[in-house]
Formats: sequence, structure tokens, C-alpha cells
Amino acid sequence: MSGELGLNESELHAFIDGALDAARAHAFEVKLAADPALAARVAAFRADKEMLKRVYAPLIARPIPEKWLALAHGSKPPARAALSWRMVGSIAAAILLLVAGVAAYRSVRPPQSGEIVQAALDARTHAMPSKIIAIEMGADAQRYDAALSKAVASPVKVPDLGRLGYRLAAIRLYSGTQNGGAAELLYRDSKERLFTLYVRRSNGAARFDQFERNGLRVCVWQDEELSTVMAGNVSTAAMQRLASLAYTGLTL
Amino acid sequence: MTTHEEFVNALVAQLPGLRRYAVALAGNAALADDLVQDSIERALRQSAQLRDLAHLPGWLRRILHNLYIDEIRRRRGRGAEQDVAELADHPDLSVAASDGLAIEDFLRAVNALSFEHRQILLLVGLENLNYREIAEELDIPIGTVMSRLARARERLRNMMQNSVSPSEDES
Repeated sequence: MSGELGLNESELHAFIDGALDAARAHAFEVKLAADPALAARVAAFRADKEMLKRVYAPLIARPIPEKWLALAHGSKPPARAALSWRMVGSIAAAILLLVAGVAAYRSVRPPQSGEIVQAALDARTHAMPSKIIAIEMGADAQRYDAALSKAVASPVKVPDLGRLGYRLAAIRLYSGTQNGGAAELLYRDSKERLFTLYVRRSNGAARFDQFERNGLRVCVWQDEELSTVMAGNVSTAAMQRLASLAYTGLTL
Repeated sequence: MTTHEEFVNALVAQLPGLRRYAVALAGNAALADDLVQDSIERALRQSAQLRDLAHLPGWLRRILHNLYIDEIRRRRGRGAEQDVAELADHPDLSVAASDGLAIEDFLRAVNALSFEHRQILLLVGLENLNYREIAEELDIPIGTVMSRLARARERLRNMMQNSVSPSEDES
């Protein structure tokens, strides 16, 4: 993962930042005492870290422009904030049900199929999850499977997309959606491009669809158990491969 | 549920730190102020999306990052417009006269780093976030935080040891 930088290099910086546990920190100190060149490097990196703080830290004392204070204090609550999320959800559901009722005779799509796409895209861009699980190198994958299964109240696994060049970067959990909890798996490729898989329990109807939305390729895949929305800046063919691997990986 | 007044008060309390972070990230005080002002406006519009005020600092930095990346994209092709001398002479950077040149070299080196390298150095060194918090804020694995930090520090060190190349570090 770290290319030409071995584990020792990351360990060196973890030592500088006080991120090593006591045993590893002690082992590193022993190594440091025996290696003047390494000690010199650590000292130089420490000096740079100190310099960064010394140069920029005083900027916090600058007075805040009056116009910013006026902007903040003069603002009114956004219209949406006056409604609770539950109310917004109820209204959205009512509208969707109405539309679906009118269109039922010509559509086989479930009434809330559009809602999960919006929820997934909102989550991807700016929603605040109730919990974020950071991914640790070498961690037991079953731990992530367990957290995901608990979040969506269904036995699922975190799909491995490594075969297609994407590695798991983070898991975000959301509570309180209409069908219970939701989870968003964030993957990145070697160029740090993001591919997201949003999953929650299904509202029943099966669906498979692929389309463009907000400049992203989106795939909705739903069966009786799970609803998933996958999104990424990828081609149609690449989405097909990613979606297949992700969907089968979830339930294998 | 957080009231609008509570949100505004918490937002105002974060502004000095956000402004400092923006200056360090953008390397340009005027651009930083534009970014902070836009961040305030966006934060006020989207305040309902923030469920917990404890997440406000990271949420604001996310907004600022997004705005800054948009700005970089707009400026791409026109070259970097960071004025290091202007920043080094900034009256609020309380730099002893004897340190002036060293500070200017340091600022030049930091500004020559890629956005991602500058960002991770600031999150660790200025904002005092731990690796896990950074992984959560940037949506990257902790291993990537560590390797990116190691590379960023290595590049900064190389630039401080040698003279800083004017071209931006893109890798």
C-alpha cells in the first residue's frame, strides 16, 4: 500500500505523532538509540512539524471580519430545517405513493425506488452519517461484515472489489431511514477515485437499472432482501462489472 | 435537535480556526477569505444536514475542501497564483525578523506540495487530528493516511534540504 515506503517508514511517523502503542514506541526508541542516521531523520521531521505549527498557529488570533458575523447572525433557519426529517420522509413518501398510485397501471417500479437513489447520492456528497468506521490495514474482515450486517439488519458481507482495482476505504452507517438502517461502503481505486455502495433492507420489489445522475454512473439493484445503489465516475461497462462483483459479494 | 441559534453560535466559534486552516491550505490570504465566506454561506444553507454539533469542525473542513478543489479546477491551466512573499510578510504571521528567510523558505516548500500532501500535514500538525479521525474525515483507510503522511513529510524535507522547485509537486 505504501509503495517504496516500507512499514518502518510509516512507523517512524507514527512514532513522531505519538500514535504507536507503548511497546512499539519503546522498541522504536531502542532502534533510534542505535542508529544516529535514523535519529537525525526523526529530529528533522519533528523540526518540520514544529515549524508548521509555529508558522501557522498564530493566525488563529486574527479578528473575524464583521461581515462574516453579520452573515451568520443575520441568517434565518433554512426552510427545510423547520421540518423534521421524519416529516420530510412522510411527505416524500406520501407524494411518492400518490404518484405511484396514478402510474401503477403502467409501471412496475416500486414506489420508493427513486428515494433510495436520492438517499444514496445525498449520502455520497454531503450527508452526515451516524457512525463512520475507518478501515485499518490487516484488520479482521469479519469485523466489518458484522458491523454491516448489524446496520442493515440482514446477514451480509463487505464485498471485496480488489479484483477490479478498488479497495475498501471507509464504512458509513446511517440510522433512521424508512426501511431501518442504511450503510454506505466507500471504495477507492489507485487514483483515489471513489466508488460507493449504499445498501439497506429492501422494500420488496425487484429492480435493476443503470443510468447517469449528477455526472455519475448509477446502478440500482434490488431484490426481496436488499436494496443497493452503486455510484461512481465509471463507464457503463465498468459499472456492470463492479455492480456484479459488489452485489454477489454482499450475499455470498 | 440543534436550534438554528445553537448552530450559528457554534459556527461562529469555529471561524478563527477555519480561517487559519484555509490560509494554510490555500497559501493565499485573500483566496482563503473567499473560501471561508463561501463555506459559511454553504454551511448555513445546509445546516439541517449536520446531526451533531460535535462534528462541526470536520464538516466545515469538508465543505472548505470541496470549495477549494472546485477553485483549483477553475484555475488549472492558469498556473499557481500563490504569493508566498505576501503570505510571509503577513502581519499576523508573528515571525521574528531573524527567522524571516527560513519562514519564507518553509512557506514556499509547503505551498509547492500537492493539495493532498499539504492537507494531511495540516490535519496532523496544525489541527492535531489523529490518524483515525483523518481517515474518517477524508474517507480513506488508515493505512493510506500513514503512507500519504510519510510521503508528504519526505517531500517537504527534500524541498527544505534542496532549494524549492517552483513547479508544483503533482504526485
